[in-house]
Amino acid sequence: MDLSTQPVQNSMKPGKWVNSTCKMCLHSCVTRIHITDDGVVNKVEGHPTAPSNNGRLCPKGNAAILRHYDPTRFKTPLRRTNPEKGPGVDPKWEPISWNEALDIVGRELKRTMDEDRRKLLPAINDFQKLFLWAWPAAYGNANYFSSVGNFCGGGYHPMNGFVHSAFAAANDVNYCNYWINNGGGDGFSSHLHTAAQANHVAKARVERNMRVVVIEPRLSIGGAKANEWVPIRPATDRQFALGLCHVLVYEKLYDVKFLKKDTNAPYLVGPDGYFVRNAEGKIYVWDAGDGQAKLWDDPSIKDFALEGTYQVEGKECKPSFQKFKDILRDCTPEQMSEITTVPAENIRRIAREFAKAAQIGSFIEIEGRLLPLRPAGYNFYRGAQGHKYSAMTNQSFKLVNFLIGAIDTPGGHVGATLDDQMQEIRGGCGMINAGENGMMKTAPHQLHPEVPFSYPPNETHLMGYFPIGVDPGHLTQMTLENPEKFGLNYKPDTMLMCHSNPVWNLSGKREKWFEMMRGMRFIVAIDILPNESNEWADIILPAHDLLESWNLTMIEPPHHEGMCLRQPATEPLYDTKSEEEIFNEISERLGILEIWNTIQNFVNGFHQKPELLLDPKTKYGDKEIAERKGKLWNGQDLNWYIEHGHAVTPRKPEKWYRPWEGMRLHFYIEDILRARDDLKKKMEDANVAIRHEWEWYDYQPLPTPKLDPVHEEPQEFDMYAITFKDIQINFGESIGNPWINDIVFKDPVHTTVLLNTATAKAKGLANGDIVRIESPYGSIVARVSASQGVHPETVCVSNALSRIATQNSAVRLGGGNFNELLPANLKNTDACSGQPETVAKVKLTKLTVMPAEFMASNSAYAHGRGH
Amino acid sequence: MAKWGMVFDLRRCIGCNACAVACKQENTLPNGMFFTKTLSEEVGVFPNVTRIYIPTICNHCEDAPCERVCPTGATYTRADGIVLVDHDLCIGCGTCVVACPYDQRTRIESEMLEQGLFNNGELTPFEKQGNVRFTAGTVQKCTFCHERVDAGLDPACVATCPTEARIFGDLDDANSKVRRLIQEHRGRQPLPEKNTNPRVFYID
Amino acid sequence: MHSRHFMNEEEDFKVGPRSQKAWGVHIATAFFFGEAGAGLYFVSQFFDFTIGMSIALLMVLIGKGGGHLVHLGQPMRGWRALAKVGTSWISRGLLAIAVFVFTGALHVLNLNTAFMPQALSALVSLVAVAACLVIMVYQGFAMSHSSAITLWSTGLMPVASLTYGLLNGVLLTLVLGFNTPLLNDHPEIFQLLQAAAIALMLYGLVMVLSLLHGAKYGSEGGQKSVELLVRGAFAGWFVPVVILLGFVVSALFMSFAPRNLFSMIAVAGTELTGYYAFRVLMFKVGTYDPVMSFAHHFRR
Ligand SMILES: Nc1nc2c(c(=O)[nH]1)N[C@H]1C(S)=C(S)[C@@H](COP(=O)(O)OP(=O)(O)OC[C@H]3O[C@@H](n4cnc5c(=O)[nH]c(N)nc54)[C@H](O)[C@@H]3O)O[C@H]1N2
Ligand SMILES: Nc1nc2c(c(=O)[nH]1)N[C@H]1C(S)=C(S)[C@@H](COP(=O)(O)OP(=O)(O)OC[C@H]3O[C@@H](n4cnc5c(=O)[nH]c(N)nc54)[C@H](O)[C@@H]3O)O[C@H]1N2
Ligand code: SF4
Ligand code: SF4
Ligand code: SF4
Ligand code: SF4
Ligand code: SF4
Ligand SMILES: [Mo]
Repeated sequence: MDLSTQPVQNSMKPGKWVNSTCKMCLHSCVTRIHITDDGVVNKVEGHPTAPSNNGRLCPKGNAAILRHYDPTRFKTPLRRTNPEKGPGVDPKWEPISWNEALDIVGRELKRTMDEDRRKLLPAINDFQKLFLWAWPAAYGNANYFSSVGNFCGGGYHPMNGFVHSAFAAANDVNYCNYWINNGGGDGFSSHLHTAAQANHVAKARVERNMRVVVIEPRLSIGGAKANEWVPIRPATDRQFALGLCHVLVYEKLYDVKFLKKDTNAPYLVGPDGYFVRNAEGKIYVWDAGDGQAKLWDDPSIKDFALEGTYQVEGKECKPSFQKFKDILRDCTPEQMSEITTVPAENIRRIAREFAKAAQIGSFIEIEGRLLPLRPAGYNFYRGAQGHKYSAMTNQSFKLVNFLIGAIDTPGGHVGATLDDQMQEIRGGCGMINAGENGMMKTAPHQLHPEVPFSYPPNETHLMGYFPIGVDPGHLTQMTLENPEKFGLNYKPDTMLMCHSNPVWNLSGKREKWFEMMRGMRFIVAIDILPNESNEWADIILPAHDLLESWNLTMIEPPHHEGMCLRQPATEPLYDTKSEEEIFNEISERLGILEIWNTIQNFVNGFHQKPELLLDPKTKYGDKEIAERKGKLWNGQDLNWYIEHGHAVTPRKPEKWYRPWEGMRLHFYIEDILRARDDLKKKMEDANVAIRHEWEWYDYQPLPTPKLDPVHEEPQEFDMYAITFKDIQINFGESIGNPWINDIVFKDPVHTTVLLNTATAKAKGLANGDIVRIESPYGSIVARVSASQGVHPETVCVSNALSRIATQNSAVRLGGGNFNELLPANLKNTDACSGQPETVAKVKLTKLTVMPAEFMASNSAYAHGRGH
Repeated sequence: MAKWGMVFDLRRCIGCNACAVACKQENTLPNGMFFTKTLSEEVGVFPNVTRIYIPTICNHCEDAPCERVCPTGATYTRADGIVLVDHDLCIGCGTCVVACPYDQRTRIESEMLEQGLFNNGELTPFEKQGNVRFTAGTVQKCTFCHERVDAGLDPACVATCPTEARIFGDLDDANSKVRRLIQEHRGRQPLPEKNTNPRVFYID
Repeated sequence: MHSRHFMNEEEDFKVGPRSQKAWGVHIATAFFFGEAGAGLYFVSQFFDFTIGMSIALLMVLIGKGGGHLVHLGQPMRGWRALAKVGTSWISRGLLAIAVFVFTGALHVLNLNTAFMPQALSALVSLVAVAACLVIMVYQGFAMSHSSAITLWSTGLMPVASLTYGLLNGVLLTLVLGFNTPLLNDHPEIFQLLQAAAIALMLYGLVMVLSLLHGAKYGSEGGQKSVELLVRGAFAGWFVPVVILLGFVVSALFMSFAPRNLFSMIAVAGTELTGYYAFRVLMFKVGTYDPVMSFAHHFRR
């Protein structure tokens, strides 16, 4: 045999391919995995038949093999033997058997259960196994000790629920020609099936000449690829959007027909902010044709008035559109320019270009359905919406889309469900339902049903006080610091983490989190690799990794739908179990297996097909759950999925475009006022002490230009620090994967914090200088690089620099956790949605002494970059 | 006979370096070693500034200086234009490394292989099966994934590129996508002044 | 632009000039011995100076050969480098070394024993000198032959090799020949060699400066090389050692110092130090051009 002709490339070696799905971030790009005849996984590729990611993978997806073979993986259940706990303190793990580990966990959780079920702090974050998030409900607990969906979308998800009855939203890349991208990486670096979306957006840009305008404080990847990068002062995105709205409204560039017919913009609003209703509760509009008020569904209405002031039922009232117009009076491009630093003429020009590109009045026929064509959309995410007045901020972006009639229409801004089985699951969140008075029913709860109000509060993060938001885990710091003030009558002492890194992901002071962790009687972590949080655990329950387990998912897809299979490529390398098995075992030991199975039926939607229902007493493994999800999706069994890998198809137009046809959308969100007043009443009735401090202003039916409190920090904090994800990095989590490190730590964007060149010069900072970045709440340390691609008031801190002490020596230390700079308090949290402020006001001080962490051999700065 | 070449569409490239990682996967490259990498550069002054992303790879030069200077004949060009190194012949003199104007060649040192990807002196099963590709002390570079290409597949980096910024094909076929792109967008070769006649073209 | 001054720019994924790393001190050492040995042999054979020739042969065989072997990744297969004499200067050089060592040794042996017939001995000595000349220049050709590194890619490189080779040969002969009949009995040779040394030093200086000049205006990579030598990380070596010590001090010393062994050793020392530094620095500052010399065309 001539050796030199033997294929030596990994994918060409003798072996087999199996179909699977990536899980190196929360999305679900479809893969095929090559395994050698010797059973070694040696190549992961995109699956060529999947129309979502089109056979392509981002760098993280390409690095899955090294997660699988990572020597720091948890290999057996572990028990801590070092009673001392702290960041970087070696837990001195001792391997124990599964039985012993599960018995300990069962015993300790049982004890907590018997004492007070509320004393458990759960943190379960796996987006690909969303049903696991519901496990605490089986335990009888609604705490949530993590920031997932909250740091990024506290305001975003509820607002998508209000507007689209969906979890997420995306610009329709199939037809969009003018894409405003505000503070989100969609299509370039993060969010919404990163690798897949990058593919579709690149095609639209290059093959269809779609214009991209990126509004961000830093020249992100999106900014670099955009036709226009608009640098903006951080945390002023709402004001930018309101500036656009001003131009659209005052220059009459809006879609009158859409607003009158498909939204509640003509509904009359009374002085109390509620719609004006008759005795039966029917809402009035003003018929400009007849010059009189009529009920909204009166067939005789000639012309819905959008503007004007009227007297109806003895009340002075205005169409909600007029209410918005009134607000916009003080949102001229000039005024907004002062806040955002975006020149007024640019705000004007972009608004006009946007309206022009929207082709208001045009139609397109898709599958026999005549739909409004609006090839322009305002897209946004984490960076733009992650601010104090987040609900208002999100609504302001939506309203830009409303004004040009671009909601849920080809080319415009379209709602996207979380996992496409939502129709009937988790209480129907994501389902389109008719509401009252011709309006679509709002669905602000996109992750779990509302947590009931309680006083004393049952939840450390006060979720019962957020009738429309996403769990603000960070508030735990505030309440535990001052339990009397919040009436908290118990002290949590037990923690269960699964696929979660709260000590990393939450805002607030690390030292206070550490203190809290030290106070825990018992911590169990279900994980695959050491991280900042599970180094505090008493017991580690090691999970299979993505190449060893079964699953079926499709998570936050913008343009596609259909389940994707994960199947084991190899036998588990170590003595690990699937999360499904682990929770079954724990549940059984706690005597809650039956409840858990019932809840799984509910959250997975198995009740839609009774033959799929889990038998309450049986323990179902990952394979069986996966099989049922497949059958629920398309009736196909696991063998079908094993053969095809996935059931991905382009999103069905009837589901994607105007699924609410015939209902009116919420231009004006009265439900927010109702939520406020319900809460007020409940707090009054229960005599909740902090009700006077509650941030009542945050509940607005329409956005106002009020400045977020971050801008009011003391003057000496003269800069803004921002954080960002990137396509190479999953949070900070993929740092530690050698291939990811090899590309990430060669880019100044990720090895230093970036400052505008002129700012650096003015501050006497040169490249490579070490600075302390200090906010009123905490500080971190980093090296600086100057860049022309940064707003002059901004410091950009990559997630690659955010890791702190860890047991995983491949993780590079970056000088501190960005979240240290952020407040974990109510003042900087949107009381309407639970969204924390994610931008910090900071000052920079040049350090002359190299801090110790920079010298560590695994410092992000130590590697080839020393002075 | 086909003459393989590549086109980089700079409008599409987002600098993600999925290509670089895919190549590391396919070829079990040690840390710090790349057969392809995407570079970036800021252009302009705030606020009129952008960043360009530039993928780089061995250009499989038609007039390859690396081959010309190689004293052993280890570097050779296949009939389909793919420039390869025969690691049984290479003596690791590095002459080709200094002769390649594109800095595309690396001599593999035994430490690079022994240290392991996790930098702990141990090799994962993945590395054990993959390191046979290399002989320490010899020079390696991008092979255009000739084994995949011979099997009718795209190179690994091309297959993974999320934005389809990398297009691989036959430069001799007037109807191939690469030829069309080069013609329509006046494709440019890197460092034409070096007279190497690269089989890689950039379009924008 | 992200500045690069503190980062290890070679590692960064930035468009920009990068240094070559493949050739370093080992090769510089080999080159050093090659050009010093061959130069010495050339001058020595001219004057039938056996000690010089013998030492020269050893320098080439052990110094140059050894340097190369240490450098090679696969030294055991080093012989394969003979394969491509038609295209590769490295092959040609290796062939020249083999021929040189063989014929040179024969020639030296023959000088002492006269075992060869006249015609053959003339041929052998001619081949030895020719091979020695090839050794003196081929390294320059090896460097100038490819366009990758602007600093090297110039016709001046072989000239520099030749100049340095001759200069080294002259100085080593002045040292080794001191107190031998060659110089004791022939003061005119001494003077000739001295004059040649000074001339070669001046010529070498001009040549090195033209090398820099050419590189500076040749390309971005060339400019970067020159910057590194003149102002950057290596200026502290280049200016004082290569230029001042290697040429200026050496030439002044040669012109004005008393004629004794110590002086000759001193001049040879300064010159060879300058030369060795030159060889090392040429590699250290060898810079590739930014891959995208036309990057700015791609601006929006
Ligand atoms: N590659 C990758 N993809 C991911 C993830 C990941 O970690 N990596 N995580 C997933 C998850 S859970 C989420 S939530 C999404 C998040 O996806 P993105 O929304 O894209 O997340 P970020 O990068 O955090 O924020 C987006 C941008 O906001 C900018 N920014 C920061 N502050 C401001 C501001 O005040 N105003 C404006 N206009 N911009 C600002 C940052 O520079 C950044 O480029 O991505 C998901 N997909
Ligand atoms: N500074 C800063 N903070 C942030 C963000 C930011 O951009 N910057 N982003 C915020 C956002 S948007 C979010 S959603 C949160 C995310 O916060 P987290 O959900 O905590 O994010 P991850 O880092 O993915 O942490 C999950 C942990 O899961 C483990 N894991 C990975 N795969 C598996 C598996 O298959 N099974 C199990 N059992 N465990 C696994 C890994 O060890 C990892 O450490 O962070 C928020 N916090
Ligand atoms: S975007 Fe996420 S799911 Fe897709 S390839 Fe990258 S890491 Fe995998
Ligand atoms: S994978 Fe494609 S988009 Fe990413 S850096 Fe490489 S060429 Fe560019
Ligand atoms: S790019 Fe370099 S290594 Fe590749 S063929 Fe051209 S000269 Fe040789
Ligand atoms: S290192 Fe190997 S391939 Fe390169 S020139 Fe030398 S022998 Fe040829
Ligand atoms: S063609 Fe193959 S070997 Fe070359 S860079 Fe791409 S993946 Fe690597
Ligand atoms: Mo998130």
